Formats: sequence, C-alpha cells, structure tokens
Amino acid sequence: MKVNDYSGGVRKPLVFDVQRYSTHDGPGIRTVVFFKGCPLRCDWCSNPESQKVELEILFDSTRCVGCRACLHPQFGGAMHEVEGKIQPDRTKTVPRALAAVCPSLALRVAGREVEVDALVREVVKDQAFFAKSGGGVTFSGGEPLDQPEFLLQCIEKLEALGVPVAIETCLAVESAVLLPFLEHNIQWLVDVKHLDPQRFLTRTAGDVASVVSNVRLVSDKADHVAYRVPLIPGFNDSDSDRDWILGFIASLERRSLGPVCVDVLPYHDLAAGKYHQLGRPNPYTRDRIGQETLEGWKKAAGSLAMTLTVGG
Amino acid sequence: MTERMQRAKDKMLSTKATICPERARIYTRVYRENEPLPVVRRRGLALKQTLAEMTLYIEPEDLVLGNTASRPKAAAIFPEYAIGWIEKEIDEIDQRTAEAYFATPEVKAELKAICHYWRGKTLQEHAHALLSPELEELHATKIIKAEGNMTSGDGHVAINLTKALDLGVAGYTSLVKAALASLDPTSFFDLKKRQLYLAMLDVLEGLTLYIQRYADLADAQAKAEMDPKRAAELALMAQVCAAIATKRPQSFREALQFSVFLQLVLQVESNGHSLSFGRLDQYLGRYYDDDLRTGAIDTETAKELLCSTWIKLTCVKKVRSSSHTRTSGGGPLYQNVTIGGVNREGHDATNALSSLILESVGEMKLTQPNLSVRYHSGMSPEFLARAVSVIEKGFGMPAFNNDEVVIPGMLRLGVSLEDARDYSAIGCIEVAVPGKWGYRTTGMSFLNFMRVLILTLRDGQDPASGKAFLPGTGSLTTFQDFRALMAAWTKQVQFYARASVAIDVAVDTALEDLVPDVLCSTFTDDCIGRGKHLKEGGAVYDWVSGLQVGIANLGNSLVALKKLVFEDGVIGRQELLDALANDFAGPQGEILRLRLLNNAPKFGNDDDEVDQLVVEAYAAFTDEIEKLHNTRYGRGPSGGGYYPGTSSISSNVPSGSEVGATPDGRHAGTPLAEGCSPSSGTDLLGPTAVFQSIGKLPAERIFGGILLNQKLSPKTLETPADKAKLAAMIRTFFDDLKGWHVQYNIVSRETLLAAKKDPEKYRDLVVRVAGYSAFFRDLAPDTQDDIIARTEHTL
Repeated sequence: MKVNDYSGGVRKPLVFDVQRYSTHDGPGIRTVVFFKGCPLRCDWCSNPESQKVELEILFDSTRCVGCRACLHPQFGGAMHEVEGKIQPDRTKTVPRALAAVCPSLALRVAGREVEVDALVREVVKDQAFFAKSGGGVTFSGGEPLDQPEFLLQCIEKLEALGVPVAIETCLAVESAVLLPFLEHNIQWLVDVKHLDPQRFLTRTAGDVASVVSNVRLVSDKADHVAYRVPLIPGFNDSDSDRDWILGFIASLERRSLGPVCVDVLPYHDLAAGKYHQLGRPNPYTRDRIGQETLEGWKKAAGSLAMTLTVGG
Repeated sequence: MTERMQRAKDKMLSTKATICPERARIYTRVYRENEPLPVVRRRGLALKQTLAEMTLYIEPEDLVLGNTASRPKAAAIFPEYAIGWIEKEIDEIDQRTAEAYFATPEVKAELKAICHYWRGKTLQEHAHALLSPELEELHATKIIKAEGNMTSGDGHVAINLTKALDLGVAGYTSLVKAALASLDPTSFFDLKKRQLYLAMLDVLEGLTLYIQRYADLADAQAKAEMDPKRAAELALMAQVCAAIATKRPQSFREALQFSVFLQLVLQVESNGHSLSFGRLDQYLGRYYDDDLRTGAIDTETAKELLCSTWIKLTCVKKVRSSSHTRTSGGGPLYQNVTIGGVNREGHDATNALSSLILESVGEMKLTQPNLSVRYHSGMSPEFLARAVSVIEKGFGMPAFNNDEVVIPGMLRLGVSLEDARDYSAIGCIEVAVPGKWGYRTTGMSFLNFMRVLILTLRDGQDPASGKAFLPGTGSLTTFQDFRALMAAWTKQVQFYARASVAIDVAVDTALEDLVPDVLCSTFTDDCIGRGKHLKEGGAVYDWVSGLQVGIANLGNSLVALKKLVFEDGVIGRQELLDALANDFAGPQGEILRLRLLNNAPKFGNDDDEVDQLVVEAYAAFTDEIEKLHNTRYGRGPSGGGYYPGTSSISSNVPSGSEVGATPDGRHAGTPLAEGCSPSSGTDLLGPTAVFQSIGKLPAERIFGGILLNQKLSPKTLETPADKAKLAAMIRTFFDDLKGWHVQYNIVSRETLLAAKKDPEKYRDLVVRVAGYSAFFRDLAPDTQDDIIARTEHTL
C-alpha cells in the first residue's frame, strides 16, 4: 500500500487550514484542522491543495495587480515571469515567506508548518464554545493519520485539556498506525467510498482490502464511529453500489451503541477553481447528484435501521 | 397573528407618512398666551391643552387606544426644539430619498407661519449661543456631531411604570399636592419647585382629560356601531379608559392600556426618541397571571391586545432633518420593550407574559417595539430556544443584553444591587434602571474616531476643514516609533473627549432652560421628591454616554501602521500620507491599499495584536471621559458622569462619508464599521472568532454598550441541531466571553439585493440596522448597501 510519496528524512507536520465554527464535522461547534498530505488522492477531491506533502502555490492570475513583489530573488524563483505573465514556477521549492507577500491575495501558499504546542493553543481558542455545544476539535485533511506521531501528540494534549477530539479519515494507513489511536476516546468519522478493489483503484491511489480491514478494526474497537460516504456520480451512485456500501456498513461488528450513523456527502464541483490555481487538470467533472438518488439512499438506510444524514 | 391584525398591519404598511401640524399649532398658541410664565409652566400648560384638543381617532382594528398625532403615521412637529431645518426642508420633505413625509401646501404654509414665531427662541439657537466660538468652529467640522440633540429632546429614558400602575394618575396627583403643600414660600429653591409642581398638576390633569376623551370617543362609537361584536369591544375599551382616567389600573387590559397611553403621551411631550417601556413582562406580568387565573382574559385575547399595541407603536413617527435622518436610518423610534433577565432578588424573572410578548412580536415582524431579551446564565433552555426561533424569522429581533456584565457593571458605578438587577434596555442596546435614570443613557452625540486618527497623523490638522485644534502632537513623518503615534493619539482623542463634553454642557444647559419635560419628570424617581425636573438632577441615577464611531477601523488602521509602516517598513510614511490624501489614486495607490487591507490583521478574527490595539486606543478615550461630569453632577443624582458607548446606529454611513481614505485600506467616503462590529467583509474566521475579539473589550467600562451585529445565512438555521448550536454560541458569548449584546440579521444577500431593486414587493422586509430594526425600503440607498455588504457567516 502506498502510504505517501515523500522520500525519507524528517518532515515537518503540515496543515493547510484551521477552520473555526465548523458545524458539520462532528457534534456541536468545532474547530477543524486540515492536514496536508493524503495517500488516496481521489479524483473527485474537493480539497486538491490537501494532497501533496509540500507547500504549494495557489495562484489566481485574475486578481494579480502586477506589483511584482513575488518576483524578488529572495523567493528563489518560485514565481517567475513568462512572456510578460507572472506565474508560479512549479519546479521550484516554495519558500515559506512567499505566503505573506501578495497584496491582492492572488498568490496564496497552501500549507504551513506547525508545532504541536502552537497548534494546540490555536485550536483550543474556542474551547468555551465546544464546552457549551458539545463540540471539539476535528482532525481532517488530507489524511490526519498520515502524520500519526504528530497527531497523537496533539490528541494527548487536547485530552489533557478536556477537549473532545474527532478524526475524519479515509483509513488508508497501515493497521499498526491505528492501534495507539484506538486507546483514546475519539469520535471517528470513517470514509467508506467503495468496496470494489478495481473501482477503488481506478479513482484513488489506495488498496481497498486494507481500508476495509481498518474499517472493521475501528468499528470493532472504538466507542464512537460514524460512517461517511462521498457520493460520487459514476463511481458509487448506482443502486447496486449503494446496496453494497450500506450492506457492508450494516454488517460491521460494532462496539458503538445506538443506531448506525451514515452521512452522505454528495459530490460538488466547487473545487474546479482550486485545481486551476494549483495548475493541475481537474480530473473529475460530473453533474451533481440528483434528489432521486439521495432519496434512494435515505430509503435504503431506513430499511437497514440506519440514521442517514446528507451533508453533515 | 389573527386575520384582523394582519389587516391592520397591511393597512399600516400601505399608509403614507404625513405631517400633522396640530401639536405645533397648540403649543405655539399656549406659549404665546402665557409668555410671562416660567418655561416649565408653559410646557405643562401646552401639553395639557394639546391633550385636551388634539384629534383622537380609533381605527376599526384597534384593540388598544391612543395616538400622538391626528392620523396613523402622522408626525407631530416640535417647533420649540428647532425650526431651521423645517423652514429649509419643509417644501421638499415629500421628495426625500429616505423617509419622505407628505404634507399639503396648507400644512406647509401653516408650519412656516408657526416657525416665524419661534425664530430666536428655539433650543437649537440657544444651544449655539452657549457654544464658545472655538467649540462652534469645532462642531462645524462634524468631527463631533450633536445635531440630534439640538433639534429634539433627549429621550433614551424609561419612566417608572411599576409605580405608575400602582398609583394611577390620582396617586401621583396626591404626591405632587403633598409636596406642594410642604414648600417654604420664603425659599428661592422652593419657588422653583413650586413652578414644577404646578406644571406637574397640569400635565396630570391633561393626562386624565386625554384618557377620558378616549373613553367618550369609544363610547360614542360603540353606540353607533352596527356590528354587535365590535360594539361590545368598543364598549369594553370605553370602560377600560373610564376606569383608568384617574384611578389605578386593576386588570391586564387596564394596565396595558395605561402603559400605552403614557408611552404615547410622553412622545407628544417630547420628540426625544428611544422612549422605552422598561421591563414590560415584569410590571404587567402579575396582572396577566391574575387575569388568567380568574378567567378574565385568555392567552389568545391577550396576544391580540399586544399585537394591536405593536401596531400602535409602529404608527408613531418622528420627522427629523434630512441630515439626522441619515444617522437614524429608517425613521426609528427605538421604543424598547425588555423581557427576561433576573428579578430584584436575583432569580430568573421570565414569566408567561415574557413568552407571550416574544411570540406576539415574532408574529407581527414590525420595527416596533424594539425587543430586547435580558440573557442570564440561569435562563431556561426553553426560553432561549423560543428567542432563537424568533431570531430565525429574520427581522433582527430580539436583541440580547447580558445580565452577566450589566449587573456587575452597574454595581461598579454604585447602583444598588436590587436596582442593578432591575435594569432594562433603553432604545437599542444601552441600559438603565427604568424610572430612576436620567435621559440619554447613550446617544445623540457622535465622535468620529477616524477623523481623529487621520488628524493625529497630520499634527492635529483635520484635512476636511483644514483646521488644527490641537497642533504640536507630531505627525506620521516625525513619530520616532509606533509608541509615539499612540501617545499622539491619546493626546488628540482626549482633547476631543473633552470637546464632546464641552458641547454637551452647552446643549444640556439649553435643554434644561428651554424644554424641560414635565410629564416624564413626574413619572421618574425622584423628581417629585427633589422638586427637580430631570435636567435639573431629578433622577436617582444619571450617567450618560456619547457614541464613538469607527471602532474596528481604528484598530485595523493602527495595526496596519504598526506592522507595515513601523515594523516591516514595506510602506513609506510620506507614501502613506500621500496615498491617503489622494484616496489611493493610480495603480500604485491601489497596490498600497490592498496591502493595508490584506497584509495586516483585522479586528474580528481573534487576533490579539489588533484586538489589543482596539482595547488600548479606546481606553485612551475612556480614561478621559470617565473623569468628566455632566450638568447634573452634584445636583442630586448618583453618578453624574460619562462612559463610552458604541451604539452608533446608522451613523457609520454618514460618518464614513465625511472621512477620507484610512490606513485600514478603506476608500474615502465609504461607510465605517458599524457599532463595535468588524469592518464589512474582514471577519473571515466566523462568528466564534468575532465573539472572541469583541469579548476582549472591557464591557464593564464601555457602559454605553458594545454593539455587535451578526449576519447569518438562513441556511445556518435549518435544522433543530443548527438552532441548538446558535443557542450554545449565544450562551458561550455571554457566560464565558462576557459579551454585552448581540443581534442577528438572518436574511440572505439575495433577498436584500432583490428588495433594493424592487422595494414595493418587499415593503414588509424588516432588517437589523444597528441596535434597532427598520423597514428596509425606508433606508437611504447607501445604508442599504452597507447592510448588504456586512459579512454573512455560513458554512
């Protein structure tokens, strides 16, 4: 299984966003930490800037006011001018300082390096809101378990502060990585994208067998697990896909009490602009999921006695 | 809402605002006929005579009676305050872009003739005569604006309705007569008191006349009414009025009707706005409970009476000069009703009537009353959920005030614990102990912080007027470091703090000399006991605040100067001054503007650096204003001081139009941030971060109120879980962050844009402006744009 593609050395933990007042990534009012770096890199990914384990330039040329500040030699040529047009040179390493240089925000840098203590300080700022609403911190991504040591340290610190933690994960990691996390009281938000190995491989960079065994492991060992299905046209939205996925979830040995909670996240194409700003082709463009399909999922979940929500 | 109330609402919405000359006519006549009498007597007689003569009417849908002018939505004229703007604007008053009033040529001609008598006699002229030439010059720059207070009464007050209901007119008459009997005719002070007491007896008599006239009118209409159901209602109203014309009310109906009469008559006496009910659920609650128990009334009937009351209140109009109209967008009267909170013993005060008031206001969706809910940590989840479900309706109500900061803040001022617990909102977000506090707990005088900051960068010279009132504090090109700039800011803002109080002293003296309110003083403690009207120091407590405009812009500008000019040096000092002077002209100017806008932190994102600068810069003003006294200091009331306030109503728009470009990247002439809310479009981390930033301000010192408007997308309140999250957020803001106030606009941007385009289709669309709600179509176009631009939080 391909966990990630960076080569050796000590890598600094990277996050690309910290979003406060999130109300759809676990219970209550939450702060969500988006890690940068993901082993799966699904074609429909709505956060393409979350995939690579390195700083990346997002550049929106329509907002560029031509101040040329980003062309300064101190930035090592990460931005350059080609035929009068200022644009990223994606062969170059992106220096951290580039993030603060652009007055019009045409140029943004996805990713910043973080330290455990500083990140924890940042994410507990809304602790009072968590406490009153039953919320907490959600680690998402990218793939948070792709930076397991760092994540574990964060979780331990947050637990010591009494902050509830959730992890939103695709579980495309070695099972051994999961074990220490299962010792902690974590709300798991586990992706179930598909069960078909062939289908899985065509659109992601992962191996479904290990994902499935991890889903079983987490369901069996963790107290709080909810399942999330990104509903992707042409990938898993047919009736047979639906029955397969929901049937699988229904068949899991679960340690959690109460009804099985499934959250369906319908595909959207809001990320098209971000692909463009990253200078990458948008690998997946489809129409949105129809209401009829969603009704079908609701009905099927109902017949399996599951609680199904759409969009968190 | 009943079908009848819907009809009444539709009728009210389609009624055009007009001008009614009756009050002006009667006041002018009585003043003329009684020129030898002291002012206070003339005012007493003028009010009494007006109440005896003015046109009374009953609308077919009315269940609660009363009016302030001859027709619904007619504005009375108050020539004794100011005539300059009337003479200048009356001919065009039906053509104004915001808040037009219709008047026939005859009415216009009559008013002009009336104005003739008042030349040289008005409050405005007298106030100007009391200003020193330097202050007059300073006031002309509009860095400080006090026009609202020179052209109308103080307002911002609530009378003691609890006591009024206990005593009735007769009880008060006895009190005044007893006081009168105890005077010493050889005393100068008692001579003055005697004039006030005589005037009080006149207005009490006038009040009885007015109520009795309504009893007679309802009785006559009942007899002529063909529909037996309506005839019975009219007969009942006649009975209610007759019962309370002198005696104290005995039932919910009577108590509500008496409260409404007082509310309306006080607005015939003075045009000072923000005349508030205080804690309506508290003083009417026991009548309601008793009547429910005995079966004298049922919930539905009581609710319809409340709805009828809200329509009555919305029919009251105040016509302002066109410039003052821009500051008070949408023609608000800010008649506040406060519910909830703790009682005088500290327990949850919410009762059955609190819920009924909340529900009835939520159903009517009008601009009046301005409903405030007093939050306290012991508020039941059910009541908070009810409040949230009214918020969800999207007309900006209720607003919340927070017992957890207001009560300790009042104790800090020296208010007694029981009185502190009994506070109510006045007008928008400001607070006072109803019936015991003087006028203008906040309001009517505006200091433009951004004008002061700009002149701080230019050695005291105000670029708009070219004047320098306090030169020699250094300029941006000479400050050694950022601390030197802050030191200059402190000197300048403290100078303008003193100047604002100096103007207040002149205006307050003119108000005291020329337009004392006899009725309002009668019903406010302890005017009768002291023999002083409110402006002489009759109130038990008397603190005031002006309003400071541009709070977020101030912090954003200072942090941009600190970071980009002083620390990083990416913007040159002269370069910045030039760019501000030419409003960021040219491509280089735009780059510089974007840098200021995007490369420095902004207030409202829980960023300590900028938030602390707001705190520090504001403290410089607060330190000074807290040392200063109002004209009642040492004359009776507890207090007599000042505190700051941020309830800048819609003045952020006209104030912005008078400020050039600012170092927060704001273009010249565009609106400033409203109240204490973040600048439009700069709070990027959502509402919790906004709450955190606001929570850093010292709410116990900024006692005129910290106004926060939040706009939420309707999508954020779709499910019960969403609503629970909003309730949790409000609780956290108040319990943990000690916020002062919050209110919500839950109208989508699309709806607002559509309403701007097609006002007729959206004539009932009510939006939160700043501390109050207004009909969107009544707002000036630039205020409409400002509301559309405020950041909408969504997910």
